Amino acid sequence: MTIDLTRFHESFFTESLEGLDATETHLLALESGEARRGREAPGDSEGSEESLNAVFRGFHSIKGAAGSLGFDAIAQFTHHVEEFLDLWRKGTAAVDRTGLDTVLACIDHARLLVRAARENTTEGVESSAKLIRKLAKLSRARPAPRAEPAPAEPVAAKATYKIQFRPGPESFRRGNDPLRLLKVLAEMGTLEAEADVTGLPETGEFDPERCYLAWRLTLVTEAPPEQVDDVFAWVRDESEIAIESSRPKSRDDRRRVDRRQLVRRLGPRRSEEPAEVAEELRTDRLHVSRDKVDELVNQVGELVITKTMMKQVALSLDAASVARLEPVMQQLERNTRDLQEGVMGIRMLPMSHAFGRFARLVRDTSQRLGKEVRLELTGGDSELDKSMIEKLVDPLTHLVRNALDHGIEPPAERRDRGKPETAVLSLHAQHRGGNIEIRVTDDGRGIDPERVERRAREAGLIRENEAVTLERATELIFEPGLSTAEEVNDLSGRGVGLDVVRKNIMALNGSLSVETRPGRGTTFVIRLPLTLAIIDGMLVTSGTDAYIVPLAYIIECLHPERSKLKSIAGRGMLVDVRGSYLPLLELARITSGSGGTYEEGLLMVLEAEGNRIVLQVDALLGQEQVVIKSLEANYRKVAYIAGATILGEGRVVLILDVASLVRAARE
Amino acid sequence: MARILVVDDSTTMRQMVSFTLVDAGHDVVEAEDGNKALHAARGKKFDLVITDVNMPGMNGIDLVKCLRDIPEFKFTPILVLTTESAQDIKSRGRDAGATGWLVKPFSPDVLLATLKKVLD
Repeated sequence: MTIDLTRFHESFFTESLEGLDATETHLLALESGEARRGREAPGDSEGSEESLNAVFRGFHSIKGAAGSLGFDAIAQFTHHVEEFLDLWRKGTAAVDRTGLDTVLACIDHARLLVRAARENTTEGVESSAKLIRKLAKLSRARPAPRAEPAPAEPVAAKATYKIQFRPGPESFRRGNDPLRLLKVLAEMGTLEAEADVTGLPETGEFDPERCYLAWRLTLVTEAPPEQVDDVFAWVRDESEIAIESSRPKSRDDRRRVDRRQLVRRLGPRRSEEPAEVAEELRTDRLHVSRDKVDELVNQVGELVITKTMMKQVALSLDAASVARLEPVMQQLERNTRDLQEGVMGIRMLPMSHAFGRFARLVRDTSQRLGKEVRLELTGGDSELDKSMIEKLVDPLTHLVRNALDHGIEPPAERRDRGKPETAVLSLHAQHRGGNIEIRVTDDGRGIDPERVERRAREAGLIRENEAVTLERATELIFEPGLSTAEEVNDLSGRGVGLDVVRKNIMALNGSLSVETRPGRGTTFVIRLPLTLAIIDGMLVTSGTDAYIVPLAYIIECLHPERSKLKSIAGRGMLVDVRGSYLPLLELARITSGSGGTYEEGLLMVLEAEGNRIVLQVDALLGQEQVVIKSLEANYRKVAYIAGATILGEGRVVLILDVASLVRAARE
Repeated sequence: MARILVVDDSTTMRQMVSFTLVDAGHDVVEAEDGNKALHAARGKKFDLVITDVNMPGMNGIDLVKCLRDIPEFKFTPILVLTTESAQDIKSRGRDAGATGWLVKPFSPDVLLATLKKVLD
């Protein structure tokens, strides 16, 4: 029979790439473990051994699967890495910087090979040799040239084998039943078997768990001697076996050749194999395409809306019908909510998926900067929507680089300040209400208000005589064009930084803030809703219409006072909010073109991208969690509108795009 | 049809092995390490156990030893999946009570051919 191996390819790619990420983490743990042991007394080596085993296992697993699936280039490369790692395990090669760097390079290269295999290209295959040579050099032995084994010559003639077989008495206890072996032989040709019962004890001494029998076998077959030999491979050590054949034995590795060729022959794919069969597989993990999950999320959204509409319809029924419908509706309500939570849960991934990559980044970057940094990751099991995690990686990378580059001092400076030379950079994730909070903390020099003031003055961000407090400094660092780095370098660049990071996080309906203690360190706090699809909003009215203002943008709400209003020719209206004049927008004027009276309604102070405006609305109706529906996908792009949602009672309301409102008001 | 316990921490390998077995009409239970395999094995009857050696938590060799101590598994064939470079694992597996081994990489055909040595 033939099994189509291509069905396992995607699983192999995904698993291998994930495995390589984990392997990298273990290797870095191994590195920091070795560094600690180097500094301190040789103490607990258990952790290192565990990491080393995990690294070995990582390559080992890929090698095994790659070989079985016919990805020879990957199998061969990982085989060499594994052999080198085995020297580490045996202690015959030192776990040193060069070695660690090389194995890290091997992880990168293995990733390249796996991705190339996924893309069906041979990228990187040729450069494997370079790394293999390097590994060989490190293990101080050139690898024996792997002669491509000659294919086994076809065996046509039948041969006769005379076999004496006396299984070990303990055979059964290891699961080996000699009868099965005889059956296997019988399938290879014609077999005559003659049992030797002379070893049987007296009835009283008979132990049914022991094997007392022996056989004299005559086998006529086309099979090569190796194959006959192979039948007894598992029992050879404890059994008495003598095989005489009419043909001389050939080289030992013939068997291996056969197997390799089998794998290769199986390599080419049979694509017509139906996919449903795979459903029979029992496994605790499924790899599903993102489109399918997104579609499911959409459908659940539709279902929630339909349910709400049904509820509305039910209200118009007569009392008797309502009474009958009520329990069913409640059931539907519960089911829908559970289903919604379940479906949203599919897209949730632990934050460790984003955190994982930072071990390598911190290692490489701090090495390049000549700084000593220990990375601490906590709360990695907090879950977040997969698409959010992906969008979070860039901002997080920026914050981590920022901390390494600007926050953390070089070892000498830290020593002078009485701090430990090794700095600590920590990433911490935690759920808070419907949000996730990610804290990036360093114990570096903190934000220095004087430096920020100097830079802000140079950049023309503050008035000539304005003094910069620590609080003001923590706002200024998010201004475009401000960078406190004394020198431009290729890591963080100059000025392109925190303003962009904040903007990206705002785009996810999140917020970015900073806490700092000069000389002690800085913490950047990212707060994000758990999923992009649901946000907290404030329901406001303007005339007969209702709108949702995302809560993340709302700073405060005020009652209007005529005395605080200033009109500036050609610039519209400004409102004095505790000394700063903010541009005023009337929601009614934006949406329907007709303005109300200033004294009526409420003022909302909104902030986006570091700028504030005042929005006048008629009334606040309350806070709601809403499911965002794209207006663009269902209708078309509308100015100042981020999307639409459907309220509990079935009414469609639009969600304001605060960032574009703020931009419009400032222009 | 046989009832087979497949133990491997690599999802790809586990799926390959179990798919091949299921396709051949066998009933397969999967476990991703030794501890989970022991859990799955307790109180149950299997006709065959196929286990990887190198796994986190409890490895394949220790699994074989533990299984042999369970009365139901005294005579159950247990195969260990090993690699060419791991000659000593073959003997360690045998010492622990494994029935035999299967050398990785192997193709589904080799796996099915091997089953004849351990299934009736």
